[in-house]
Amino acid sequence: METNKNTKRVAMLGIMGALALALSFLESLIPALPGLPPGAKPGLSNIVTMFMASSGIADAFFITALKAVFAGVTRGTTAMLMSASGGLLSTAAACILLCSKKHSIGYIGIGIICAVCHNIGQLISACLISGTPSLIFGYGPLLLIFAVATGFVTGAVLKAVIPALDRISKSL
Amino acid sequence: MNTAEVKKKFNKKSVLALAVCAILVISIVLADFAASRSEFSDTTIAMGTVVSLRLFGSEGEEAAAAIEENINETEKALLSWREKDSDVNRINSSAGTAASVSTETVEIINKALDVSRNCEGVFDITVGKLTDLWDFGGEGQRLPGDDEIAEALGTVSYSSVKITDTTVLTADNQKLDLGAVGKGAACDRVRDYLSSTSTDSAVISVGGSLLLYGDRSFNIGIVNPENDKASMGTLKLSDTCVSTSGSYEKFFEKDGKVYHHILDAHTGHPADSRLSSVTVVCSSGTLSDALSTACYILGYNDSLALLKNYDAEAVFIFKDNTVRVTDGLENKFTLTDESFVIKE
Amino acid sequence: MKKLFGKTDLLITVAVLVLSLLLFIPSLSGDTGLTAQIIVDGEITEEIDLDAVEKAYSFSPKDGTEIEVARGRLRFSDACCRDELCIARGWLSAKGQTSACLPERIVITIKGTDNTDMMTY
Repeated sequence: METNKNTKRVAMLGIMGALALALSFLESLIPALPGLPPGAKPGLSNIVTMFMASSGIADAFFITALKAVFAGVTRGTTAMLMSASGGLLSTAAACILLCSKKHSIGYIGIGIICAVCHNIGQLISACLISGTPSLIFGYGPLLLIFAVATGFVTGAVLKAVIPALDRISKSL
Repeated sequence: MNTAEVKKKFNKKSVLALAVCAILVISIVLADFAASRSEFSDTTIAMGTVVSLRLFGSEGEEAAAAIEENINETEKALLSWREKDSDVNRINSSAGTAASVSTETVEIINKALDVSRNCEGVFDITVGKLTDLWDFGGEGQRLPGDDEIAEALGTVSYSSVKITDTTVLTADNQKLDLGAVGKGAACDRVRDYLSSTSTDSAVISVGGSLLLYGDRSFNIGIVNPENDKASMGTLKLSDTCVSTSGSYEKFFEKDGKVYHHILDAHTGHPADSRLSSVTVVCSSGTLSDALSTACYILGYNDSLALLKNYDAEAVFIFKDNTVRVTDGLENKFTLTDESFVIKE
Repeated sequence: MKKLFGKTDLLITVAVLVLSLLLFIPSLSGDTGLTAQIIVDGEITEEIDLDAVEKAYSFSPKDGTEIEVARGRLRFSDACCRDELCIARGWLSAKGQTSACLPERIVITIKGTDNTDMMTY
C-alpha cells in the first residue's frame, strides 16, 4: 500500500511538473508588453502550483523549485532568482489560503493574492539585483493592476480544472 | 503515534526544513548576485577628455583611481604629442631616424598601419602635418590654402613608416598623429589592467570610445548626431570595444560651408561623406577607433569588406537620417528615436 | 467547495487596485527627479537637486567659469576657455547628459541614465 502511495505521488509530481514547465515555456514565447517589466507573464503555470498547494505543501514547493531551476537553465541566473523569489512568496500564500478552511476568500481572491505575492517577490528581487529601489514606483502600479487581471484568470481556471486534475490524481 | 501520524509529522518537519534551506540558499545567492553588481561609478577628466566609469564588483573605488592613472600614463608615456618624452613625440622629433619606443606603442602603430593598408590609406596616422595645419579645436583653427595642404599631403605616407619590435622609423619631415586611435588604445590598456583586479564587469567611456569588460551585457546608446541630447538607438553588447566617429564632434563653419575634423588622407580635406557618424564594434579598442574613422571616410559600401576583415561590426547613420546596421548587430540594435529609419 | 468570487474577493480586488493607485501618486508630482553633479578636477564638489531649485541662479566653480542652474536643468553660461564647447552644449535636462570645460577640468552632469548604460559618441 505504501509503495503505491509514493509511486502515485511521484507520478503526480511528474505530470504536474511537466504541465507547469510546459505552461511556463509557452508563456515565455509571449513578447514583453510595454509598460510592464520584461518577464511579466499571465502566470498560468501558477495554476499548477496552486492546485498542488491544496494537496501538499512539500509538493507545491517542489514544483516551484522546478520552475525556478528551469528558468535558470533556459534563461539565466537573473531569471532563476526572479522565478524563485516570486514563486516562494506566491506558493507560501497559496498554501496558507488553500489549506485553511477558516476564511471566505474565493478562488479568484486566492488567485489575485498569489499573483500579487508573486509580483512583489519579483519586484523585491529586481530592486536588489539592479540596485534601484525606484523600480517599485516605476513598475509597481501597472504590475499590481496586471496581477489583479491574471489573478482573476488563474483563480477562475483553477476552479474550472480542479475536477479534471482530481481525476488525473485518482486515476494514477 | 501510529505510522500514519509519524509520517505526517515527518512530512511537516521536512517541509519546514526544506523551506528554510530554500530561503537561506536564495538569500545567499541574491546577496552574492547583488554584490557582484555593486557599482562604483565616476566621471573624471583624463587624456584631455571626459572619462566615465561604471565598475561592478569589489574595490571599485580603488580600481577607478588606478584606471584614471593608467589612462594618464598611456597619454604621457605613449601617445601625447605634448609630452616631451612620450613615444610619439620622440618618434616625431627624430623623424628620419629610428626612435626606440615601448612595445605597446609599436603594437598600436602596427594595428593602425594595418588598417591603412586595408583601406588604401584614406585613414593614415602620418597625417600629423595635415592636422597641425587645420588645428581643429585649437588656437590656430582655420581653413588652410590649397598649396599648404598639398605640401602637408606630401609627408602623408603610411608605407614609409618602418617598425621593428622596439623601434619606429618615420620618413624625414613626416609626423605621426595618433589622435584617431588614442582613446581606443587607452581602452585596450584599461582592459589589460582590469584583468588583474577583482572587478567583475565594467563599462568605461574614454571620450566616447567604450570598453565593455566582463560577462555583463550593457545597453550602449548611440548619440543622435543632430542634437546629442539623447541616444537615437541602443546596442546590447558585452565584452568588446566600441568607437564612434562623427562629423558633429569637431567642426567649424566658414562662408556657409562646414569643415569637420575627419580628414581624408588622400585629399587633405574633410572627408566628403554621406554619413553623419559610424559606430564600430570590435574586440580591439585601437582597431574600433581606427576603423570608425576609416569607415566614415570610405562610406558605407566600401566599409563592409574592411569591417569583415577585422571581424568588426558597425552602425552607419546617414545624413538623411537613415541607418544601416551590419549583419552581426541586427539582433542587438534597437532604434529608439523614430526620426531615424533603418534600411535593410 | 470554495466559491469562485464572493464579497471578500471583491474587497481584495479593490484593495489591490487602491494600492496600485497609491504607488502611482509620487510620479505625478511633476518632479523631474534629477540631480546634477559638479565635478572639478576629478572630485565631485557639489550635488544639486534640480527639483528644489525655485529661482534660477549662477555660481562660479572656478574663476572665469560660470554655471547657471534652473529648475530641472543647468548649463555652462560662461567660460574663459577658447573653444567654448562647454557653453555651446547648452542646457542639460536629462539623465546622463554631460558637458565639460576641458581646459578648466570642470564637468557638469546629471546623475542617472536614460535607459542606456553608457553613450558612445
